Amino acid sequence: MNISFTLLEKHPFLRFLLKKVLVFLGIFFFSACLIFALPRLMPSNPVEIMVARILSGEFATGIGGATGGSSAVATREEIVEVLRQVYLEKFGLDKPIQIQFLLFWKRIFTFDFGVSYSYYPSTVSDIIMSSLPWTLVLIAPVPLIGFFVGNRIGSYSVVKSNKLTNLIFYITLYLNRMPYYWFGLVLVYIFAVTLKWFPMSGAYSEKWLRPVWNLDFFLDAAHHYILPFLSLVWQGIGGWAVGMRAAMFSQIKSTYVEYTKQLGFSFSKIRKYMERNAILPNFTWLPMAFSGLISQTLLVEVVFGYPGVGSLMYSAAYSLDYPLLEASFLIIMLIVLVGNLICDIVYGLLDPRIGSGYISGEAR
Amino acid sequence: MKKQNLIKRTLFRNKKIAVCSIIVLIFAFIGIFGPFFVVDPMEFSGYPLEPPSLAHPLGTDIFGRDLFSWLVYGIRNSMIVGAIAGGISLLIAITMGGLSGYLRGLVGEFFNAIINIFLVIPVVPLLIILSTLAKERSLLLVALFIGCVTAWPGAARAIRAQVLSLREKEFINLAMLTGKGSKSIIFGEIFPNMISYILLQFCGAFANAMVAEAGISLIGLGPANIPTLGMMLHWSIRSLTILLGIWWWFVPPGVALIILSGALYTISISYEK
Repeated sequence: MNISFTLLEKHPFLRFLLKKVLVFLGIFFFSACLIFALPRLMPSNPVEIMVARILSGEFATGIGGATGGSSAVATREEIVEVLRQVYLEKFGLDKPIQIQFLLFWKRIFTFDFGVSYSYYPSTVSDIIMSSLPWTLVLIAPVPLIGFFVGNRIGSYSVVKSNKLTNLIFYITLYLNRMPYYWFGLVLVYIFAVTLKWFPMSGAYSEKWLRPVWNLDFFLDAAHHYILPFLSLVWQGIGGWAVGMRAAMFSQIKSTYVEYTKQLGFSFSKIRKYMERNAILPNFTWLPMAFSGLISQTLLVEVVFGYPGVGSLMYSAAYSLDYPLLEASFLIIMLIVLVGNLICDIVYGLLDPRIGSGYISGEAR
Repeated sequence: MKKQNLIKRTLFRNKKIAVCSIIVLIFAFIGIFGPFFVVDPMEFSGYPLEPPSLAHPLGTDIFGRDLFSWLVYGIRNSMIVGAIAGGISLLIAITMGGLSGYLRGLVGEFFNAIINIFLVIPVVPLLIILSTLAKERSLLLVALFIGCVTAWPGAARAIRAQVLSLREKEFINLAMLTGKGSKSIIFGEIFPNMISYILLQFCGAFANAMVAEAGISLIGLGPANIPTLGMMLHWSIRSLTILLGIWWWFVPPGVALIILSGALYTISISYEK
């Protein structure tokens, strides 16, 4: 115990990391509780909706036929009651709330959310694990490219402020604000339907029934990857560019820029100093940008029929597969938090005075 | 008198804001008065999939419904959702941001923590879950969801930063020294100085809410049976119009959304210069 304390005393980076991990665990706990509480607080719970849907004949269950005659009304109500009981038991809603809560956390820790209703024989965890890689592949390069390209665009629009750089900046700014799902539709219309350069939807051609590890499959997947990626990448670039521009504006007024100019430093060297200083406050906007990016990825997946977590949530929402929805949400939260943690580690490595940048960034 | 001057100054500070305000006003005009002049968008008024013509300025959909009137109704309903959700989220943002900025110590930190948690939780999955749980998705309910979930954390953070910096100003100290209560300082000193800023934040929240509504409607989980811009996109995807090359179905709602949200967004960031 004592040793670990001195370790933390000596290494501010470790202390910073520990604090961050604790904060993220707290956020995960909060969001998990939220997802536990929502269906129980809403006036209509999944079971009621499911029963209502079955009665309205949306699901082919054969009940509709059995309730044809007027003498079958009593049986119909009995069937409804049985249905409700079965579903209450399946959702675990028949137990007292404390037990439900404990069971909920047991499900999270064992990563066992039971059998999916809509993809019947497979378990929820299996389905999620098979679609998670596609979402990660789609999302991972976006912040990276956004970091390099967006920061460059943002800083050039300040340092070399002319018509061209400003034009590029404003184009990325508005592309960033554009409804990305619509941008995806337009890309499909232009490149997939009119020019036929890229396939319309999916992550790989239908001749492969499931992913295999060879070069052909990889090239095919890359071919399918380009359009969804293009409709997402503007988001990353725009977000970084906006933050960088604001941060660079505050740098260009500072005295050290003037001083280095007087000393006759080369332009690119001064720009590097400024960028290095400006990147730090820019990092504080990343949590927002990252969770926004996840949202966008989910919708873009639906538009392109990409088999990631977004498409999964979409079909789960339609078939009222609540365990699958719950698990998808938690896995998305995990992606967001791990992504944020990675960003924080990078931030900590970049910043010699860990923590102080956060405070100054917040007051901005 | 003083407040009016402040708003006037912010609105007409430069040409860009004036132009954008006019664009928003034109859209509002279309939304309010447009539905009186077009046919009911749910009525079958022509042949299926007619290209744009004089009788149907934006052509017809797969059932022969007039897409132009759908667009006009869509602008109205999307703006209603945007205004309601923007208003709700702004109320939450002012409360949370103001409290976390003004109060010192643990209480302030508590509100700040809530803001930071909601900043991290992604919007679309939460909206999907909320819409799934709702029995009947009315326009108001979806607006309520969006307002409570989407736009407020960003605005709350901005307002918090503003309150934090205002709080250190001398006139606030002076007010405290003269023995004014917290209530009169918050409503008498701090908020009058922030009204223009809050208006700008409202424009941003408005735009965000509209884009979020269209996003959630796009996947069919928005308001049910109410023509919005997002629902137009949803049906154009479901009818495979992109494959058929029917651009007059999915391009207009997107363009309308971009112009409107772009104008609102431009107004909302004009403060930062």
